[in-house]
Amino acid sequence: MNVDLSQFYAVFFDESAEHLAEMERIFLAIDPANPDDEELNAVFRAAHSIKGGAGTFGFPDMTVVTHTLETLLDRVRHHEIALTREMVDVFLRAGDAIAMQLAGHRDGSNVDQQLIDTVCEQLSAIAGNGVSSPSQSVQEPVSAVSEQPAVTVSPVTYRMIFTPPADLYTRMVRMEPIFEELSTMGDFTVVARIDQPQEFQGYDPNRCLMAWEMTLSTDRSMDEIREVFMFVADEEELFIEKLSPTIQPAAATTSQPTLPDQPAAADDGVVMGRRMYDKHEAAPGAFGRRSGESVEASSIRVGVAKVDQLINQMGELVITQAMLAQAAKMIDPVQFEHLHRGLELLERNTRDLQESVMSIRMLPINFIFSRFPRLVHDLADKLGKKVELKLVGETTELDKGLIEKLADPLTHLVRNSLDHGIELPDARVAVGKSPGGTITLKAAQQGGRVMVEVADDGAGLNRDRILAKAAQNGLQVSDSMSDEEVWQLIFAPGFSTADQVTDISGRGVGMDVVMRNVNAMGGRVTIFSNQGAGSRVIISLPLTLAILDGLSVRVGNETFIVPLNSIIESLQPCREDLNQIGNRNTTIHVRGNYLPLMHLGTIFSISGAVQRPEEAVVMLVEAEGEQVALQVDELLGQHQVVIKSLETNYRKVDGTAGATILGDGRVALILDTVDMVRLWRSQ
Amino acid sequence: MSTQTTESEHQLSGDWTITGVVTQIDVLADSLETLSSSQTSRLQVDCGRIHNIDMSGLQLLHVWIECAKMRGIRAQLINLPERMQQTIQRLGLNQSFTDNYLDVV
Repeated sequence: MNVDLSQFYAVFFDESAEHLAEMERIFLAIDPANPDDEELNAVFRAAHSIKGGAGTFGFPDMTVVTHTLETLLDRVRHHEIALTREMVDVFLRAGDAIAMQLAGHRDGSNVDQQLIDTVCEQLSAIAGNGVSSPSQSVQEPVSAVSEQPAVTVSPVTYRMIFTPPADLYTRMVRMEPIFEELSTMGDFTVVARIDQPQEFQGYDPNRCLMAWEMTLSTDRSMDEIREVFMFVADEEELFIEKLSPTIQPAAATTSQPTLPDQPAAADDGVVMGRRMYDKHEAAPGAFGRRSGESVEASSIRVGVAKVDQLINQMGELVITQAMLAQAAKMIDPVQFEHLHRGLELLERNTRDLQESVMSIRMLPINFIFSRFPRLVHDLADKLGKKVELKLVGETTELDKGLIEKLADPLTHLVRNSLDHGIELPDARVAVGKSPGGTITLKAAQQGGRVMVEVADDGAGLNRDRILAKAAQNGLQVSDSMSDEEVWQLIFAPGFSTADQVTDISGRGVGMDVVMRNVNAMGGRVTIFSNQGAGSRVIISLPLTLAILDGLSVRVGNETFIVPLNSIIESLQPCREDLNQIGNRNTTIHVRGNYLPLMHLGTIFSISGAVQRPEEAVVMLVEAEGEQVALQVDELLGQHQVVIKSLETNYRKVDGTAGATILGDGRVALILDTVDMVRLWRSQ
Repeated sequence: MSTQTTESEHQLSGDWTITGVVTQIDVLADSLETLSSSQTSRLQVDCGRIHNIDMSGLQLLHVWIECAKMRGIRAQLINLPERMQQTIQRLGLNQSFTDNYLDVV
């Protein structure tokens, strides 16, 4: 039997990554002098859950680190040892080590065992020091009260029945680590029962027929016991009750187990062997969900490949709908009124469905923002700077593909702000600023685009140094250049004004990569800077990479798609508004502005295109904040188009962002206005 | 390596984990049919050559022995490897195996 283990591990990997992120978030926010008990409990639970999952799925290396961490956190939350800033740093490093091990199991990436050992030694050193807690030191003076016998918590006996789903075996779950963990929590007994089928014929060895009855006498809470089963049991599969002191534990090795004939089924109709995806997704105990999580916040995990497949199929449906709409134009609208109404309804429903499907791929930008508190914390320490990071608009949603590609450029920008932007505390005080600087990461949706901003209140860009360095690098510069033009110079490959190359930044590798990566996403980068007051770098991105609203235009016999969000207006020019400059260039006068006129037919060498602007249509389009006029033969209509990659299927075509399939089956190029302007200028 | 059967003794072997139990099914089903038509009332099940066994394998073994019992055949498990005994113990299956079948170890 060939079992793909990855499908069973995926939930554990995802959940553990979430636990690690939660631990890191809490550690970065925690006040070591006055830690919040709830937060300490939360980080303990996170470490505990990772350990439990690692044991269940057979990752003993992770169990070792998480066990050491969990033991320490348990002592901290019970105020047996006092939390210090140094301990928090070690805990953060332990989180990194576990994340590395997790990545090793998930991706096969290298695990630095030396680093793991170092972290374990550091954790053990903390445990060995046994630092007394502030509360203990307060109680040190001997008093009448302190001589009282210590109050001990009486253990409670719990009875548990676990009726697993039928696919327990094929999920590769192992129960032994769970029972072992329970046995470390107190006095534990377990008895299994196997549901005997009447006939051997038809027996399915993959189907779990077992159920377990357990008793545990412990001082732990019911929630802590339930957490041990976190990766294995849904809420209704695990029955836990507190036994009264007079009731003896039911499980013993001398009597038959007293499991109910059909556990859980008698009450709610849920029978043993029900598959986990048969239940309603909003069920409070749905697989992998933590107890206490609201139904409203519930979610299911679906592979990215499945979502991409759904989006591809949605794209095909959009094309099919466009084909039908095209064909319907040839059908008499009076005679076939019902058909036309149906097609209109289909168009509306297709659009609604497309929006719903696309929203599945949308993720909050916090997926990348959440990594920066740690980055800023570590780098600020390293540089001896005081920096506060502010996150604004973390819930702004962006296509998953863009989120992943945005991570590197944003990291470059934040590191640059830390290293070159924010000044050292003394330098800030000397110029009348507060010793601590602020870096703000902001995201917001504006129309069809998402704006992501990295701002700092540091020294700002130094115009003179940039100009001097650019001249030194052989770039063409002049003092008359506008600030915007000067700031664009830092995107030149290898450009750096840093006096010293550090391991953080200053090698001149970065801003050109930022620009290239952002451009590859159909995005733009704009810089605003005020010397002495700080800088703002704004990245503007499209909402999604899969489907866009566009206007189809004809040039000769070719059809192009112009993205709707870049179109300002369309007009038919009069002869007197056109000015010929030299042999090739023309400008058009629109409401007091003279805009360069680009002839799409000339840019793409299309024969048969209308040559005289006054006989054609001119579209005013925006390209990187600049307005240009684009001459086309005819406007055809507005469409939703599915973007197909030209690079994947053919090769990169300058001036385009991809291609699409039209309703009549023909291929149309989708224009990238910025790239097209660049292409036109180069011609 | 596959499970060997005779009328009075079964020698179980190989992989009895979730990845291997499927291969054991046919042999066990055939042997159950053979045992039903024989006059055998006791059967020794030698587990000495089981390399690895998990809860799915133990479940299969239990179900098969119970089915044999329904046909009037009492099974005795013998030569249980140390690891198999530990797995039975750790999974809380003592009653299902040790108490009911383990006449000879």
